[in-house]
Amino acid sequence: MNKKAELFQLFIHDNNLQKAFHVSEHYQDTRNFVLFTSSVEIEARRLKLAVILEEGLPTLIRVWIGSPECCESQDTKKLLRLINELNLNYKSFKFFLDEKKGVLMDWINATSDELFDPNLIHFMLGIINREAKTVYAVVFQGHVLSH
Amino acid sequence: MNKKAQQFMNYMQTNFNEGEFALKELQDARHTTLFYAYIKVGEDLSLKCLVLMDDTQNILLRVNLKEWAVCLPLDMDNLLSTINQLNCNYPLFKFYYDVATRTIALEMIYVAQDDRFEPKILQNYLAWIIRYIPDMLQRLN
Repeated sequence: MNKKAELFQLFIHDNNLQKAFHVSEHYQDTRNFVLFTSSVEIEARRLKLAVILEEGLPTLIRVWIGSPECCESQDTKKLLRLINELNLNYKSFKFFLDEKKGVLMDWINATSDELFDPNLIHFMLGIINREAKTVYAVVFQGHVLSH
Repeated sequence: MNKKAQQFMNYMQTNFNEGEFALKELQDARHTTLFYAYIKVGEDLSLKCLVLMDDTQNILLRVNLKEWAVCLPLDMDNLLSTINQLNCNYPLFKFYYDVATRTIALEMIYVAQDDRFEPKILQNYLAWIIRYIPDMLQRLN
């Protein structure tokens, strides 16, 4: 397991958050990364969320706001305009349609192993939990973007 | 001046060419400092680059890939599709079109508290951007 994942796992253990995450380690070519998967609950739905920690600088938290099935009924052009609005209005997050036509919300940061701060990840998860609900309502329930 | 900006200034003295960034300090409660530079792309194109630091933990890096990009409504859908492709292909950066300023921007937010700020990371980001800008511009053209 890479250093950042080790530190985050220790944080999870120390703060009794083991039940909130499913942890899995992956190897792709020479790349080692660890997924800490969880979810954001919106009414009866659960949006998949993953903290992706790997060797190297980047740290990523990803939320699958809309699955391809959810987006199927949406007009792609309209969706891309909405995604552009979200990218303009939410400075900390990035939104895009992936190749399967699902709507993704990313928080991306960079730190060295030595200065990696699990508290920051935990803090951002709180913000993401709140904002993902707002974004979901904008994309799928017709709410007006008022960020 | 905020602490991160001061650290970045110190780092620049030994790691950047003199005068590469112009500096502007805003007289606001967050002690906002703006660093401006131009990224030279080829012989006759320079792109405006901005680094914004303040007392918060967010550091903004923005490069204007295209300014005053005129988009007819019909072209807008193609443009947004291309921008979405860039967002898919470059995971570290965010791309969007600002309708108000007609600017296609590349942005990233680097989050670091004062005691965890690493100026070298900003330099790395800038190096990545400079390396991939020709490809980004080619796609936008």
